[in-house]
Amino acid sequence: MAELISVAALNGLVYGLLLFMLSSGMTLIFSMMGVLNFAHASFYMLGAYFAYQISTAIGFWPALLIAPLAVALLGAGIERFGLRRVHQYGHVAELLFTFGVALILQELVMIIWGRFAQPYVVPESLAFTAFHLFSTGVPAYRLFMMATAVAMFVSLYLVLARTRTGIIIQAAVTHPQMVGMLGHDVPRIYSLVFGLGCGMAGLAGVIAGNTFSTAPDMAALLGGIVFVVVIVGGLGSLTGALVASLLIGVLQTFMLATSFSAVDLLASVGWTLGPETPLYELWSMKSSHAAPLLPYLLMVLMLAWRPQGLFGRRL
Amino acid sequence: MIDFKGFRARFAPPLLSFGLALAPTAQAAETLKVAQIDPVSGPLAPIGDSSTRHLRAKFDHINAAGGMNGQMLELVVMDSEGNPEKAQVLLRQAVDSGIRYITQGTSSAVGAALGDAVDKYNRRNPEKPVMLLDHTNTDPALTGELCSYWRFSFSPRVPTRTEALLRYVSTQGRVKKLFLLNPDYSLGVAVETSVKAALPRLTKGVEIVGTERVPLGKVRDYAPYVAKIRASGADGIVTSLFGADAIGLMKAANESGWNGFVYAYTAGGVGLPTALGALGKERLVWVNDFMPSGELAGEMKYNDEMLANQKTDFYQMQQTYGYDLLAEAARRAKSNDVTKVAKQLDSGVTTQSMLGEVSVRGADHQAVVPLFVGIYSDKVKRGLENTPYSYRTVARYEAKDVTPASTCKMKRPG
Repeated sequence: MAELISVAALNGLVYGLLLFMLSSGMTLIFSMMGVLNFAHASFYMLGAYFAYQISTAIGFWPALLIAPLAVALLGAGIERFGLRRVHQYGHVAELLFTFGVALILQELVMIIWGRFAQPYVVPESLAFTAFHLFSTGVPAYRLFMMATAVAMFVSLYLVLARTRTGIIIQAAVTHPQMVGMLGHDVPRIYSLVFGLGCGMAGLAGVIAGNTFSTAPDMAALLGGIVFVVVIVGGLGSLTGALVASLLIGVLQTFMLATSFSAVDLLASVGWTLGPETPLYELWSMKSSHAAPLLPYLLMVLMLAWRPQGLFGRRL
Repeated sequence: MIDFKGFRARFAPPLLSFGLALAPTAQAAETLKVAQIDPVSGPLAPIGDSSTRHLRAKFDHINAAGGMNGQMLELVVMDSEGNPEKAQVLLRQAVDSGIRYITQGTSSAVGAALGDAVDKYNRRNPEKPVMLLDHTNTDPALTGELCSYWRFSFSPRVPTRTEALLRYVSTQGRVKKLFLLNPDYSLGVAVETSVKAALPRLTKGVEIVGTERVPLGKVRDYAPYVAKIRASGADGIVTSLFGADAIGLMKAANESGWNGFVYAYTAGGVGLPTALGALGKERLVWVNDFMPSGELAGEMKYNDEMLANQKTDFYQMQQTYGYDLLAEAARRAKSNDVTKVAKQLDSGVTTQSMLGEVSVRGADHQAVVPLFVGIYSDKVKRGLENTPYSYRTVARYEAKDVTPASTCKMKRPG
C-alpha cells in the first residue's frame, strides 16, 4: 500500500507539473491579452513533433532547445499576422480564430506526419532507472521532466518579477494604455507573451511526447484539461495554475491507482447500498472509472461556488 | 447572349457518339460491386483505411484469376465516420444504387446497426436481398444473440481468441497471476467476460488478481495503471487496448521495470511496431488468425505485391480467407446472386486458403479458421513497417479445438 501511494504521488506530481507547463502559458496569455487560446494544446503537440523530427537528425538535447524556440516563433508569428488583425473584431472573433488555428495545426500534423504515433523515444542518456520506490523503478526521465518543469516555473517567475521586461509585461497586463504612453511598444509585448506561452507549451510537448506518445490526438487529449486547470486555478493567476495543476494531477492519479466506490465508502461507515437503491450504477462506479470525469466535476463545482477560481480576481 | 443552338450544334453530336461508344463496353464489363462502409476519416480512420488496402489487394487477386464466376469485383468505399446512424444511411445509398454486397469491420456497434438494417431491408425485399460481409468485428454478440442469416462473419470472435490464448498461457507455464486491463466498451467487456468464464476450465493455478476498464482515448499516462498492476502482484496482463493506448501501456510497464508478459487481443494495429521498436520484445504476446512474419506458404509473395501496389504490409488475413470462402460459395451456387450464395454458406463451405483448410459453418455463418499465438520478436522472416519486428508464432491451434459451439438461433428466410 505504501508503495502504491508513493508511486501514485510521484506520478501525480509529474502529471501535475506537465499540466502546469501548459496552463501557465495559457493563463499568461489570457491575463495579458484577454484571449482564451483554444490552440494552446496544439502548440504542445507541435513541440513534440518538432522535437521528434529534430532529435532524429541531431539528437535530443539540441531538440530540447530548438523545438520550443521554433514553436515560440510560430506562436509569435500567428499573433503578429493573424490574431492582431482579428483583435479589432472583438473576443468572439479571437476565440474563433484560435479555434481555427487548432483545427489547421491538427490537420497539418496529420498531413505531414500521418495519423499514427511517431517513434519519438526517451534519449539513451536518460533511459535508466534512477532509484527504486520499494520495488517500482522510477525512471530518470520522469525526474528530468519534473526538474524541467520546476526550472521553467522558477525562470518564468524570475523573468516576470525581477527583470525590466517582466515588469513592463506586468504593467501591460493592468495598464496597457499607460505603458503605451510611456513609450513601450505594447503590441510587441503581446507578440512576445503569446510566443512565450506557446513556447512553454512546446517545451511541455518536447518532454512529454517521448514518455507518453507523439500522436495526432495528443492535443485533443490535454486540451480540455488545460482549460479546466486554468478555470479552477483562476483565470490569469500563475499561482492558481500551479496549485490547480498539482491538485488535479495528484487527485486524478490517486483515483486511477485505487478502486473504491461510493458504495464501499458508505459501507465502511455502516450504510449499505444495494442494487435496489436508486442510481446504484452511479454509486457503485469505481474511482478509477470516474477519474477522467473528476477535473470537469471540479470545474463545474468551482464555477458554481467560486467563479473566479482559487486564486483569480473577481471577474 | 449565349448561343445555345450553336453550342448544341457544335458539341452534341460528339457527346452523343461518345455515349454510344461507351455503352456496350460498360455493359460487358459490369462489375460486382462491394460497398465498404467503414471509417475513413476521424480517429478510427487508420483501421478502416488498412482494411480498404487489404480488400483491394484481395480483389485484384480474384480478378486476375478471372473474377467471381467471371465477374470482376469492384470496391466502393463509403465513409461511416464510425457512426452507426451514418452507416445506416450509407447502406441505404449503396442498396439504392444496386449494390448487394456490403462489407464492414472496425466497429461492432456499427456492425450491429448494419445487421439490423440489412435484416429489415431483406424482410421487405425478399426477392433482392443484401449480404453483410463482416470482416474484422470481434464482438461475439454479432454471431450470438444478434446473429443473422444475411451476415457472413470472417474474423474469429473474442471467445475463440480467449480459448487459444488461455491454452497458451497454460502450456507456457510462466504466468500465474493475470490482470485484466481493457477498454471500457463492448470489446473490453467481451474479453473480460470470456477470460473469467474460461480460465478455470483451461488453466490450473492461474488466477485473476485484478480487473480494470480504461475509458477509451482519455488516458495517455499509463503509469498509474501500471502501479496498480504491480501492487496486485500480477505477472501477466490481458488486454484489448489498441493504438495509442496499447503503446502507452507498453511504455509505462517497461519504464517501471515490470517484467511480466502482456497478452494482447489487438496488438496488430498499424503503427504499433513503429512506435514500440524493441520495447516489448519477447514480452508482448498476440492471439490472432495470422502472425504476419513470413511463415506461411505464399505469404512473402503476397506481401511483396501489397507493398508494391497498396503501400502497406500484409497483415489482415480475414480478407484473404473471407473472400476465398465467398468465392467458393459463389462457385458452388454457380451464381453471384445473394440468395443463392447465402444458401451455400448456410449449408457450410470448405476451401483451401493461405491458412490451409478454412470453412464457414452453417449454424452462425462464421468462418472457422486456425488460431495462432505469437510473440513480438526480431527473429522473424519479415518485419512490419520497416522495423525488424513482427510476431513469431509460438503456438497454433486448430479451428475445431478452439472454436466454441455456436449459440446462434438462426432465423432462416421462407
